[in-house]
Amino acid sequence: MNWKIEQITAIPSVHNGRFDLHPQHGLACLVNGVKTQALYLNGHPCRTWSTEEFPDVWGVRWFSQAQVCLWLVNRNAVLASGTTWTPFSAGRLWDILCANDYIFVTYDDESVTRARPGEIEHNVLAVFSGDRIFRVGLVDLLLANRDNSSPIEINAAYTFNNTIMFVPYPGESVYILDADKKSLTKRDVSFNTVNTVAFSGNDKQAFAIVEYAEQFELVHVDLASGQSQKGDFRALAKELDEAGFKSGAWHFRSSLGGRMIVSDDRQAAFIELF
Amino acid sequence: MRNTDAIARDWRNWGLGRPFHREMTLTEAGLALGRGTLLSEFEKKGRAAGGLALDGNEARLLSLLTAAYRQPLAGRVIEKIRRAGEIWRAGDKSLAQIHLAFLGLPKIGEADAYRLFLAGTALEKGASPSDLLKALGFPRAARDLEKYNPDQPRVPAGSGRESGQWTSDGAGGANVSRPKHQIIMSDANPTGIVAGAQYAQASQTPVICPKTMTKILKVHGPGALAKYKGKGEFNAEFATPEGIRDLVDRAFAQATPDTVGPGDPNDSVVMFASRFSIDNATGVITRIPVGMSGRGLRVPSVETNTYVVILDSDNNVRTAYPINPADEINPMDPADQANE
Repeated sequence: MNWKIEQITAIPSVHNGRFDLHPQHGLACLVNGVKTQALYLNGHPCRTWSTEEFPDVWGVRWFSQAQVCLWLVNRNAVLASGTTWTPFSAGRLWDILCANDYIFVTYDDESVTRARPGEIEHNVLAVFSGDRIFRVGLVDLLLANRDNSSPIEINAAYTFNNTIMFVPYPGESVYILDADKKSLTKRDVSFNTVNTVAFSGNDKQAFAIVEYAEQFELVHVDLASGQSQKGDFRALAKELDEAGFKSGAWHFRSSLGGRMIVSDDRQAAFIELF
Repeated sequence: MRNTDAIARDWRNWGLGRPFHREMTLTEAGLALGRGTLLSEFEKKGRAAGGLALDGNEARLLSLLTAAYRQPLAGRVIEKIRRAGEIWRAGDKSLAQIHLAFLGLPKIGEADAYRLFLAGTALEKGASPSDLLKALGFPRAARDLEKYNPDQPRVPAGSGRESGQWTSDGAGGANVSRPKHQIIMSDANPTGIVAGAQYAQASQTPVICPKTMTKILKVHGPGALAKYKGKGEFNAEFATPEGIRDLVDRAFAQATPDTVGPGDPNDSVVMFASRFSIDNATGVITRIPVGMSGRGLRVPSVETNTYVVILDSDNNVRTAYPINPADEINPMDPADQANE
């Protein structure tokens, strides 16, 4: 297993996760002001809003070169650009991942266990089209597949084209949800999916970072066979140290095209795995 | 038989003018739901502490609840309501309301309130509770109601140990339920059964595998509220493997036997529990905070002594987190949204 650390980018000292790094579009981040919050794209202020009006904007993800997806902790997501602000009802969501033509919204244990059938959070993972129309939910696809697993959260996920690969909790599998076909495929795998903190790859292979017993592990997964093998995380850790990432403050999350994003409270970069 | 125009007129003139209780609410008159429908009055004489006048009226209450919630509820819900009434009469109104909240029943809408009004009118005019259940389309529940034995073993009221709710060593009351949409109500342990002991025969102790423990501590341990977008956060003293194990065990020990254990493989079991201590000398009850509730759907995070444990049907623990009992609002309910 090999990797490259690239595109090291300074980020404002903000809460982890309130930024997104995209291989082509660059850096999007949320910056808090006095009673205001601002969206910055590649260092330039794009738009500002009052925290009285939108007090809980928690996250940002690139959707296209001109648009980002923001989410509010209570119930909504917003597709925003310099000139547009288009909310859509996505429930009390946990995370958003964007693909070419779809927005994948995931929900956490608290939202899912509170939800009733019919409520958006009950889906655990909901797929919206680019025009913000709900397309399909994970629970419906599990039902159609007669899959009796009942996840309460998505541990980690990545998108590839219009497909999302994810590890649900609980579970020992990787699922592949094709949003175009509304299909769901399951691969039983042999790594610690429960404690996976970041997941990336393509339709053939995946890479995971697993945090367990206060140690990180690097895992390569063959999606065809489900077989996994450990990589040398210590070697990666050494390179992260050398790149100036503060040991102990590392935060990993998924990105596109086999990349993960690593950040501490000062900078972020891609780890490209291959 | 009254003609329906007269009933509709009563609803317009009397019902619609009353305060709307979307959930069961204890008032000076008794337990109210909907547009002023009294599910049960308070006793006017009798026991010193007083409480809801449920004895002999259990079937009436169950049939009215079935009308309101569109599903038959298990008879054991009555004991929870009975306990809430006693606590309310003893002066702790907020705790009484928490007991009602622990039932996990959804809020009702105007249509439900109207159906409840009609059901109350029917009973008032002589229909029997089992006739009402049949009319509502629940013949099996009607048969069960006919067999319902109000004299079944029950913890004596006022014993101070009702349902195993209180202990002097800090144990909490626990309530087990299926997901709330299923509205299967539960109660705590019947008289004569040692808390927890009964499950050893029928069910295993909840299992928390190391990976799950790691996950719970990671996503609901100290810092979760700030780090994970407002997730429920256990206090440091509980956010250890031993602390989580203890919370789970205490919740399970007082759970309802017939709602714990193997069931529908797709189903999960939700246990609500609270931590209290009681001073045996003075009877003063003190809440023991277990953490901060998550940023809820409508309510801010609060310090709470209440938490949930989610089990799968094989009693494997899936998650546990502190909750605000008030944060039980259906976000997709148009009426809830209108109240924002």
